[in-house]
Amino acid sequence: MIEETSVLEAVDLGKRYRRTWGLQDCTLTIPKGRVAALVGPNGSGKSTLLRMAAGLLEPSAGTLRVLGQSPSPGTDHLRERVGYLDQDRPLYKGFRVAEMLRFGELNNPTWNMDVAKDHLARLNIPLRSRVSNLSGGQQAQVALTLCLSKQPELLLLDEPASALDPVAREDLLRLLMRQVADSESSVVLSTHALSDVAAICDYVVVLAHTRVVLSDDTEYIVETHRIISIVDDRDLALPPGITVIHEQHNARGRSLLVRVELPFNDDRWRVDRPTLEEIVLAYLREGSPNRYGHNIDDIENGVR
Amino acid sequence: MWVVWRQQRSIVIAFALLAVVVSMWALLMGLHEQTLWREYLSPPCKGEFGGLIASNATFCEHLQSSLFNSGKLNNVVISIGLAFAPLFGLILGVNAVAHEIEQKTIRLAWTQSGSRVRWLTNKYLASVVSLVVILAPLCWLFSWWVGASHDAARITQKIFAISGFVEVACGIFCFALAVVIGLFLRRPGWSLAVGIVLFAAIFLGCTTEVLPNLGSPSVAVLQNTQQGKGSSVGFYSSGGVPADSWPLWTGYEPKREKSVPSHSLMNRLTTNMNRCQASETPSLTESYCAKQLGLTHIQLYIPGNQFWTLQFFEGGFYLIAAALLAALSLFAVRKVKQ
Repeated sequence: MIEETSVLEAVDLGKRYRRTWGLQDCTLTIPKGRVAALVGPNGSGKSTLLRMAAGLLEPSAGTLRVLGQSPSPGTDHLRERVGYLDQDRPLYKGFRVAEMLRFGELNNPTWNMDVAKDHLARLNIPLRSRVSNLSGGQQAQVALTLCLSKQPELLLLDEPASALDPVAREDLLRLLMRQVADSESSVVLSTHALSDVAAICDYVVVLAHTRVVLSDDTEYIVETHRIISIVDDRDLALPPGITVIHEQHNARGRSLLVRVELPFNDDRWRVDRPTLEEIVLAYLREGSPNRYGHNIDDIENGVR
Repeated sequence: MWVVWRQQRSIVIAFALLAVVVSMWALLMGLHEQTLWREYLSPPCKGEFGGLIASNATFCEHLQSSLFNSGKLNNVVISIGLAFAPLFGLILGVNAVAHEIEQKTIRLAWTQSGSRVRWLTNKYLASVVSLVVILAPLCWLFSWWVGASHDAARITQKIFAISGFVEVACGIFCFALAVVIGLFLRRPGWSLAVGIVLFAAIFLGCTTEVLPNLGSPSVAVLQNTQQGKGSSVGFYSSGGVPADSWPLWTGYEPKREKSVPSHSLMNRLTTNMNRCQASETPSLTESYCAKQLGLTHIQLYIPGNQFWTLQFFEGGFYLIAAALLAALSLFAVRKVKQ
C-alpha cells in the first residue's frame, strides 16, 4: 500500500470556548489530492476544525498540521498555500467586485486574475457591481472566486454551497471537481447536504457532539458497511468482528447498519449494501460517540 | 495600503470635507476678528473708548460690541477644534479593527497570504498618513485663528491643544487607542464609547494635572489697590502676569522669598491670610494682614516663551503613548481568536 502525504493531520485536537468544548479528541488524517467532506450537525465542530486549519483559531489541546506545518498566525508561508472560505462569506460590502479582486491580487503572490475574471464572467457577475448590491448567492460566488484565484494547494470551504440555488450548487460542485483535477489541489469542505458528499467527495469525516465518529475513504466506508434486516430475534447470533452502528425498527422487524472489517456474507439474513448517505445518516442519528463500537453482545443484551 | 485606504476612504473624505468647512468658517471668523482688533487697537480707539470724544466713543463702542459678538462663537470653534482630531482618530481606529471583527471581514483578511502584523502595520501607516494630511493644515489654521481671534494666549489651557501640533499627536494617539480597545472589545459602538471616555479622562488629566507641572513657572507680584467711588468700595489688582502667559495659581509667598513657591505653600499662606482677615469684625484689609504676616500677593504663571516646550511635552507624550499602544496591538493581534 502506498503511503499518501496528508494535507490535514490532527492528533487529539481540541478547542475549548470558555467552559464548553467546540471540538475534542479529534484524531484524523486527510490525504492529499482528495475532496474531503466534514459532515455533522450544527455545533459538531466542523467550522471550528476548519478555522483552526486556516490559522484563525489556536487549538486548546492536541496538535494540528496543515500541509505539514502548524497553522499558527505566524506561519505566513502556509497562508499562501491555503485558501479559506468562511461560512459567513465575509466581503467588504462597500467594494466593487473588481476591487475585491484587486484586494485578492494585492494580498496573494500566487493570485491569477484571469481565473478570477473568467469565473465571474461565466457566472455573469459584473465587475463594476458593488458587493452589497449582489444577491447572497452571487456574494458566495465572489467569495469562492477569491479563494480559488489564490490557487491554493488546499481549499478549506465552510458550507460553500449553502447560499446557492440548485443550478449554482451544481456548478460549484463541478468547479471544485475540476479544480482538484486541474491543479491537484485538495479540498476540505463542510456541508449538511449529503447528496453533495456522495456526488463529489472521496473522503468523509463525520463529526458528532464535537468528536470525530467516522473518518475514511468513501469507497472504503461503503465497502465496510452493511444493512442487515432481521425478522426474528433468534437470528441475532452475528459473527465476531461486526460492529453495530445503528439499529432501526420497522414493520417487518429490525434493520441493523453494521460495520464489517472482513468480507461478510450470510444466507441467514438479508444483507444489503447501504449508500454513503445511509451510512452517514446512521452515524449522525446515533449521535453520542460512546454508542459506537458496541458489538452484537450489547444489542443482544438489550433485546433479551 | 490601497486596501486600507479603500476601506477608510469614506471616513477620510467625510472628515476632510468637515475640515474644509471648519477651516473656511475659522478663516472667515479669524479674518473678521483680526480686522476688528486691528481697528480697535489703532487710533482713535487704542483699545479703549472711555475718555474719547463722543463720535469716537460711539465708533469704539461699536467696535467693542462687534468684537464681543464675534467672540461669542469662539468657544464653538475651540470645541470643534478640540473634538475634531480625537474623533477622527477614534473613528478611524474603530473602523480599522472593531468594525472588521464585527463584520467578520477580518476572517477574509487574516486568511490571505500576508501576516496579521503586516495587515495591522498597513492600517497604522495608511491611517497616520490620512490623519497627518488632514490634521496638519487644520492645526496650522487653528494656530493662526488663535492669534487672530485674540480669544486667549495660545499657551493657556483653553486653546493650548488646538494651537501647535498637539492636535495631530492627539489624533494619532486616539487611533492607536481605538485599535487596542477594538482588539479587546470587538464591538465598534462600545469601542468608540470607551475610547471617548478614556481619551477625555487622559486629556483632562494631562491638561489640568500634568501640564502645569511640566513648565517652569514664574512669579508676578500683584498690587492690590483700594478704590472708592460714592458708596462703593472695591479693589483692583495691578501688575500681574504678561498677556501671552498661562496664569496658574494666585496666592501668597513670604516677602523675602527668592525662589518660586510651591502650590502647597501658597495654599497654606492663603489660609493664614484668610484667617487673619476674618479674625476681627469688620474684617481686616488684605494689605494690613499681608503686612502683618510678611506676605506678598503673587500669581504664578508659565511664560509664553515656553509654548513650544510644552507642545513638545504634550505632543511627545501622546506620540510615545501611541507608539506603545501600537506595539501592544501588534503583539496582541497575533493572539486574537476568530
